[in-house]
Amino acid sequence: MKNLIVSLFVLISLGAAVALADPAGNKAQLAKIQSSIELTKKKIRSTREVTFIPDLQFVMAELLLQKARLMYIVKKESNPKAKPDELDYAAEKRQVMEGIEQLRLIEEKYPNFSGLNKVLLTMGLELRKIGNQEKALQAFKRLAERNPEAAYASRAYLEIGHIFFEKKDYEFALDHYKKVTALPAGPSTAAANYKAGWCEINLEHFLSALTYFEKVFPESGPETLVSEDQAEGKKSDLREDALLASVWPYSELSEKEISENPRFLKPIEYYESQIQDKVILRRTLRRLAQRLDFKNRAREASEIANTAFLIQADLEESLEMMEVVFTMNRKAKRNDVSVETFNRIADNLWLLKERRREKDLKKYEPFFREMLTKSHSFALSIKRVEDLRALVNAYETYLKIYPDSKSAQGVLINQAEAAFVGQEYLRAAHFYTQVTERKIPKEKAKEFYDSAAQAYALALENIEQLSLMEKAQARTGYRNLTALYEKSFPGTSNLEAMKFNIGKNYYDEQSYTQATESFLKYLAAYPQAPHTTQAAILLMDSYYLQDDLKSLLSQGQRILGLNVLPSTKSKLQQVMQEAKLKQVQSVAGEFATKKYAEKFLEVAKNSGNSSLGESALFEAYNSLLAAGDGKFYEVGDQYLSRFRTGGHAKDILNQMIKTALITVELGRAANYMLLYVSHYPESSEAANYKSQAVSLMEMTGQADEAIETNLQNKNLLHAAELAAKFGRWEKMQQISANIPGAAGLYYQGLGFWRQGQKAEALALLQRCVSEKAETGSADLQAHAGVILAENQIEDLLALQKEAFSVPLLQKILELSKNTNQTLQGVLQQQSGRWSVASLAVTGRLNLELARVLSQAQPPASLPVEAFKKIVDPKIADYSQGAKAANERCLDLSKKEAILSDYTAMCRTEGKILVTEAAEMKISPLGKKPAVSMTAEIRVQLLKAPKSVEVLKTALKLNESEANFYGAYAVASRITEVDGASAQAWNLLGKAALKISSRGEALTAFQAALKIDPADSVATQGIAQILNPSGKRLPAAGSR
Amino acid sequence: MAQQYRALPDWKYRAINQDFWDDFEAAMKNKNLTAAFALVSERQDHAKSLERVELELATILILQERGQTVLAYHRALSLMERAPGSMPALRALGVVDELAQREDFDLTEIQRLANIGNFNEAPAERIPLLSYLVILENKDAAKKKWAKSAEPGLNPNSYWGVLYEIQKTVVNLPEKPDERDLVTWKVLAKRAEKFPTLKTKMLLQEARFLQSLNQSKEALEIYAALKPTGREFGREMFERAWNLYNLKQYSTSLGLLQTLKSSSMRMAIEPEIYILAMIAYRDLCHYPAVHIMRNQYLSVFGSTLEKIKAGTALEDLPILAHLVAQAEPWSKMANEITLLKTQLNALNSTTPYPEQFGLQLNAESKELEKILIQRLKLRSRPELRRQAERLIALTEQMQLLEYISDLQEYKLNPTLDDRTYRSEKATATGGNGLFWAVDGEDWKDEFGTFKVLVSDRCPVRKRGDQK
Repeated sequence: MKNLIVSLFVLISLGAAVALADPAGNKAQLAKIQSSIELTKKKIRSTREVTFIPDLQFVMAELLLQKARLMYIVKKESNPKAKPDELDYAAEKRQVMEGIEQLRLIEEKYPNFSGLNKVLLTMGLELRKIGNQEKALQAFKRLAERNPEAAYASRAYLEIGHIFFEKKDYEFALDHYKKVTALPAGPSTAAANYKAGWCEINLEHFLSALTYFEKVFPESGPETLVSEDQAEGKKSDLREDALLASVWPYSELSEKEISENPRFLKPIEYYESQIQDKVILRRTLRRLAQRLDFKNRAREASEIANTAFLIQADLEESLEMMEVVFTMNRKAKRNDVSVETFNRIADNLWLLKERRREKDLKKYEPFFREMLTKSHSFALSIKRVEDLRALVNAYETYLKIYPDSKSAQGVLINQAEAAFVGQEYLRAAHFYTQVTERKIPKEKAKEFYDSAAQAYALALENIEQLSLMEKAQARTGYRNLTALYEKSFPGTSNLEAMKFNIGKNYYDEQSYTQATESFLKYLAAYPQAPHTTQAAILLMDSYYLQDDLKSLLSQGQRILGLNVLPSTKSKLQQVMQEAKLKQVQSVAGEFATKKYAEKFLEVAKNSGNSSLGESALFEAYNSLLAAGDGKFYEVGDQYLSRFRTGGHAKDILNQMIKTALITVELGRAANYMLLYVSHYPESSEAANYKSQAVSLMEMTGQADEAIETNLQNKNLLHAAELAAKFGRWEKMQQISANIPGAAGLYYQGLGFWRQGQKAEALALLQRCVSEKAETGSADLQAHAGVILAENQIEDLLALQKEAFSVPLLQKILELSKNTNQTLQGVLQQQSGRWSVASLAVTGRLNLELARVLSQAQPPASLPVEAFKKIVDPKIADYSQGAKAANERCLDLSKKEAILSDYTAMCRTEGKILVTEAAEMKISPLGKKPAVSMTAEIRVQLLKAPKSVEVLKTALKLNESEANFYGAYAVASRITEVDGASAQAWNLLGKAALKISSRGEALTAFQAALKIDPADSVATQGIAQILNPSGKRLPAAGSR
Repeated sequence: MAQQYRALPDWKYRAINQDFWDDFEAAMKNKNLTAAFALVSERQDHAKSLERVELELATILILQERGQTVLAYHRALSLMERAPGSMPALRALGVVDELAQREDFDLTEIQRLANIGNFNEAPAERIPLLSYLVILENKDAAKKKWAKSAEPGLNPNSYWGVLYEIQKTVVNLPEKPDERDLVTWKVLAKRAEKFPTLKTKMLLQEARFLQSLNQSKEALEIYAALKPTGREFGREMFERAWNLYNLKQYSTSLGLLQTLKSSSMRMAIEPEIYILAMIAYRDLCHYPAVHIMRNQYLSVFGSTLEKIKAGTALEDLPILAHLVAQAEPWSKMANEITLLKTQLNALNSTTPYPEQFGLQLNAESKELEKILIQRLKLRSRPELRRQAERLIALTEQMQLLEYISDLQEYKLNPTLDDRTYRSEKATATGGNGLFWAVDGEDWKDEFGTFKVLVSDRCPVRKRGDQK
């Protein structure tokens, strides 16, 4: 008997599989089931063992239900064109009812049947399917009341939940789903959480909905969760369903909910952290983009759509997404397109080309071109190198895909321009040359020839940045271009410079034979041109470097015979004279030493640049140094300018650096260090001197020099930092166009901001905030966030000037939501003073909102009292919010010992207005940068380098000349030699305050107090730092 | 689910048209490809959508059986894209898997298909391939956690599991591997032995290790056991030449290099052979030969070099294309194109296809060739640039080498040690000229027997000579 039951189950399960997979065999299968039914009936009738009857009846019920399902399928297959409501399914329903009746009989006759839970569950499910919800509900209730094992209870509650969900009784449905989740986790738990999420959506409890969905995003594999519709043949992944469903509540989260749950702050990061599967991430982001677009949050929508587009997809889906990106970018007025987006577009277009889908290619051409054109104007306005280079590559794709497009020429010109501004000069030169090869009017062609020549010249100017191949290409390209240019425009003035450059190129690549040939031709053609002198000198040098002094002198003589200008003549003669001296020098003997400085200076003067002159000058230098005579700097300089490569040059430089440091002439020391670096770039001290020089310049307020030096050292980031410190905004904005990542975006944005170019600034700062964090970027991104937030508050205040209306209020609230989100982002960065700032600005935002609401007038249809009833609690909320933010601000600054002007705003609850510009005080430069010094003090310091008294005299001198950086440098030196004295630290504290270096001032005063806790100067100094003044806000209600 | 594939255990192909498929399988089993093809042709006009896909699958299997593996591979990929997740597509995935392993085909297309989420279930035996492709897709995209999540699907004993292990080992190898790395490598090679393509790669790499460990003799033993073809043949000959040079077997080394210069080796053209020859001749103090080598180099590469300098589009330079085609991973794509051409030639050689179908396959092969060339050009653009840079750098190196050789020539007493090398006797007819002429096409059989008859011309420094 048991065997019979097992075989029947096998038959049923096989039947089910075949029915779904092989529609053609369904009729035959139906016949098989019918015979199984007959067989089972007989067995029921004939069996004597009562214990097996409920088992057999249950098998019977399942066979009947299976038969009904097959009949339904067969009917549908036989009438493929019929609409669902045109077919009569009465016979099938009757079979189901028969099956249900069998189940009911089991329940009635065999209340102790071991499989009764399954019977009840099947009954409930079948009743639900035929639409008898009431009876289904009863069955599930009976199942739950039987208090069976958790699995059946949770399934029963789940099904009850579903019934109420369909009735739209979401609260009751939710109660039942909660009952499932309260039981130990089982197969129904995920489905219950999922449906609970939907109940909460319908009840508009969005945060709660999202929390339920989050419980369905486990990290397990694909085997775990399949949605309830599996029985219907529709398989879907519940995790994916939950993720897609979560998009709605996510888009509805309030600002408060987001600020309390910072994981929701950045949608892309949030979903990336939740999803292990790229494909689901793509679908979810796509849904989110559509949702945000629907909510008119165009910028966010476009950013998310762009990210979703980057995830690899089937070509058709990717094309669809590409269109979404085109549309959303247009809607968001977004002109900055990432390299990755351009690359993905290129991938799609290449695939279309490979598949010869010309129609589609044609369809996307205007979209792509529009995107390129918009990116072009934007990239040119902000001049970010990485953006421009991405654009150049995108243009390349366009030209390869659409070589015959009517716009191809325009695109090529744009490409050349983008490459030029993006400092890809060699590529720019190639592109401009390509333009000249197209059919264009001659005068236009000349313009492009000129641009190509300029681009080549710039490429060659920065030749060290080029690879080997590029170097060769730049040189060859330039030569070829010059030949073409000469042929097309023989009389043009540019040719002179171009021909000179050809000689110089040969010289630079050490092809001296070709260089001499070129220069000789050039000099014969242009004896009085702008580059004649330089050409003559380089020609001489080419001979010199080939050790061909004979040709040097003979060709020099020949050129002197040409019609050259007197200035060229004199330079040439000088070079020839030097060459002659070099010849003498090589046979010159050694000179005696230990003579008096004056005498040697005399000898040096009379001996010109001979080695005698060099030795004499060195002796003079040594003698002056020993005497402590400051004139030795002058003699040293003279030696270095005349004998740059002289044997003592290195020692002299080192000595002068050391001495300048002793006499606190830090600006001078820095200049010598840089000279040393340029003379001996490979020496072991060079790197150290390079960084020391910049520090010294910064310390002594030589702002422009320090920036320039950093630029020469290719340390763009430090250059930008210094430009920010000293308020060189334009410079900073230019420098940072070449700095990639968050830092570059920050400095460039800040540069625009400080210069009042608001639109450019905001676009860049917004990008900076959205950029992935890098080492050291937290402070910058946080500051950018504060700027954005403060700007948004200003926008909000500007809105207030408009006549009050409900839409205006909505606009204000939307803006405040964005501001709050920005500030939450700042807080996330955990960046000391900007965290304090973010709390202070949050306080300010709340205060402003309270003010706006308190001044709002009710709409015409609403009585004042009723309006007040709505608005007053909100005002109280905002005021409370302001208070809480200010308290957190003070608490944080105290706990973390953070020094910020913003604490004043928090302490006075907004009465003192502090802005980021005030927080970022620019260090004021005194009248004179570098350290002021007199000959007398210098001599004294050379004799007693650690004399505090002498140093104090120097300090006074600098203070009296309002040279605050000089004073600061001297005060630092005093603490070095007299660090145990509180007075020394006080002097440094005061000096630091004068240059707005409050952090250092505080540290100095604290050091003084450590030595002498009763020191009143230090106490006063600290009090002054901690009580900054600020602008007062107008009292609430005064606007 | 897309990137996480559900494994279908004991998966079997369930036919769309069972009767047709039974007959087809019977014909295939009996190797009666004509009958199998006739069955497909018969149904062609009557079949509806899904059945047509099944017929396409049948055609792919016939092509595979007939050795038209490139067409079979690409048709299988195309079928997978057109009817993703269907029974024929899952069977086509099997074809792709088998051919990718056997022929070492390029995986870019199948990688794309496996990562776009068009199907989410696959036969259990295909899960290692799919997991490997998911890992590959995520390895460089800062999505390592996604790659990690696919690792369990890699059966460590499968082809893809072993390949992944090899690649991980290669990444972790130090710049200069030592004996311990060699041991690790050999252990891994043992696991790869059952997969012929991997086995050959492992052996080749082992030979390179040995060379870097100055064990050229052992390296040469490995090369002797390998039977490379096409581009690999050229590369291995060059590596053998290096090892022979290391062992001071100058004649054989130079002979190999000379063979590599022949016109039939154009596919394996390599500029560094001239450098090695220059070094060898300089070592032997054959200074004029150093110059001759440079001139030969310039006669081969000079015009390409000039065009690079003049800014000609790099994709228009055939020599650069040859160099790219030898570099990993582009060589896979290049080999695929070469194989496609070979298979096109063999299309009708054994059992001919019906005329119409033969013509169709012909046209399809040509079209596919164009597409593959286009793809190779598009994807290998950075490599093209790298090769151009290399060529320029090698030319400069060569200039330096020539200069050093000249310096050495003008030194009175070159201080070279152990000068015992003497010319070998000719093993084939020919004069005692410096170079052996290798212009015939039958060189491959004679490979390794040619030698350049050259002896050490450096004057030996006598004991007590001043340095």
